[in-house]
Amino acid sequence: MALTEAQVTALELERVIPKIRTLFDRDDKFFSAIQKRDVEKISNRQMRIPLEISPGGAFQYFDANGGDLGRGGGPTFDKAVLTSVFMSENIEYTKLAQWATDDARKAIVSTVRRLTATAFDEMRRQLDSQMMQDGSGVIGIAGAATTTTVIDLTTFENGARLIRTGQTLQIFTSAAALRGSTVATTVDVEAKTVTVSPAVVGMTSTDLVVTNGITTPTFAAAQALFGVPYHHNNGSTPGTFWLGFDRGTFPQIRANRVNAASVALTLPLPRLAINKIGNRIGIDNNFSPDAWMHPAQQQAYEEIGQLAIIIQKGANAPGLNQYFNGNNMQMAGAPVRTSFNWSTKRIDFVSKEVWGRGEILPLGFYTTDGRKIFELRGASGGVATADIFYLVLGTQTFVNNPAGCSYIDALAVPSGY
Amino acid sequence: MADDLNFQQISTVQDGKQPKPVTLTAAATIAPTTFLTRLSGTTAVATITPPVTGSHMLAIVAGTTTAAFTTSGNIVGITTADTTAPSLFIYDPITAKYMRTVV
Repeated sequence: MALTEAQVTALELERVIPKIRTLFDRDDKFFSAIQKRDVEKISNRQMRIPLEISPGGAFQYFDANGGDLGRGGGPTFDKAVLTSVFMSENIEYTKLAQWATDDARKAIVSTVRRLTATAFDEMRRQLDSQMMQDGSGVIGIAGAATTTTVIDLTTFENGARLIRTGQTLQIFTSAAALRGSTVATTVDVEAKTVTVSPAVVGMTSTDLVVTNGITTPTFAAAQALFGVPYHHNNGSTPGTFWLGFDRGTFPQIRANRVNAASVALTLPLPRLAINKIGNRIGIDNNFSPDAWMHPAQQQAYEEIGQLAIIIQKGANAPGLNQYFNGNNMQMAGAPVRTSFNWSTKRIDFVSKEVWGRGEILPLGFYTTDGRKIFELRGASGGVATADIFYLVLGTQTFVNNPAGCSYIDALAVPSGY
Repeated sequence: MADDLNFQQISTVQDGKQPKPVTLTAAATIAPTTFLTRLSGTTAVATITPPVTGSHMLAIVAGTTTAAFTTSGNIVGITTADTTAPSLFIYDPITAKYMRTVV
């Protein structure tokens, strides 16, 4: 009887391709852009940003023939204030995971080495997600198809992009009452759904998906990192604040909004958004914003351009490219910058001169007494065969001139996004 | 599978970032992951899967029916539950049984 493959299985080699392919993104485009801006070292005392918020003086005509010139006044100064919020990315592994992969003869990559290398990327990716929320910590709003174990984010402007697999999520009602916490076990970016475990009883449409550590997930409470929708906001509700200013009292600190009213992008909208900046702070302002948007809106812009393409074809057979270079687009003079984490319905005009960060603790390992990696403890009080390390950051964002910020929102989203 | 690394999740003292109490659908076997567990549904629980291997205590609120537990699995003691107050279960790793406390 012939020798079969089963009899030689013990001789066969297994091949492991030495390069690991990553099947998800670690985009941190916007946070990286902000991170490179001027960083102010701050203590835990409030950082002040002095602002000249209104002109003064008393203009009038007067009677030069012995008339009374009257009294005068002067400009008003005030301050925006901020303090850091603290965020961490916690990475934990067992010793067996470490020992099983700590040599080139054991594994194609050292688990711990890869964890420490990718942890920074993951932290920045999370921070980029946080830059897309309005200070409330809300990173999703449940849609109609939500169940106790699946969060439907098809109607949420950022889809499932702000949530990462393995992340602890808190579920609040739309009235900000806590339902419970759970862990994202699967994030389906394409379907815009997040599967969670354990089930959250009562989770339903309009519920808020909130970053762990936030206790009051409201715009008014503003416990989280101040993302783009916090600063780029023309909200005028009394009792909601921008860096200490009541949005209801100070129109000077409201950003410029262009409401697209669920209509697709048209050419006048970006021009209007830019002009609103000039209308607020003068035609000679030096702001040169970038137009940040989801590639969906870049596509909408491209489609406008494609309508104007004229093909004059001769007898030859030229190549065809009906598309524009996405890396070289401008919108009313503002270079187009794209991020898949961005709201699909917004275009934000972000001036680099305006944005900044206060920082009490730079991004790095949580360190105590020189140690960066800490052992876990077992129930007995002895050391457990598992380690943990933390990447930590204490920072908060600010803009030094909200009148220099402008945005278009409520845009219609091209089909397929 | 017991996961002793997560023993703090069933500690009686926890902080705000630890998992919030979980509501489990009542079934013949349930597997609590937090100290405080709520039940939904009317199926009587016969077996509780221990979340850790050593002695520990679990608090379970039977949300729907007072006939929430039976002794046909690894539960011994009183089986009548309260639908608003927790029943406490002490795990004995020698007998591998949960003893319902007399309260």
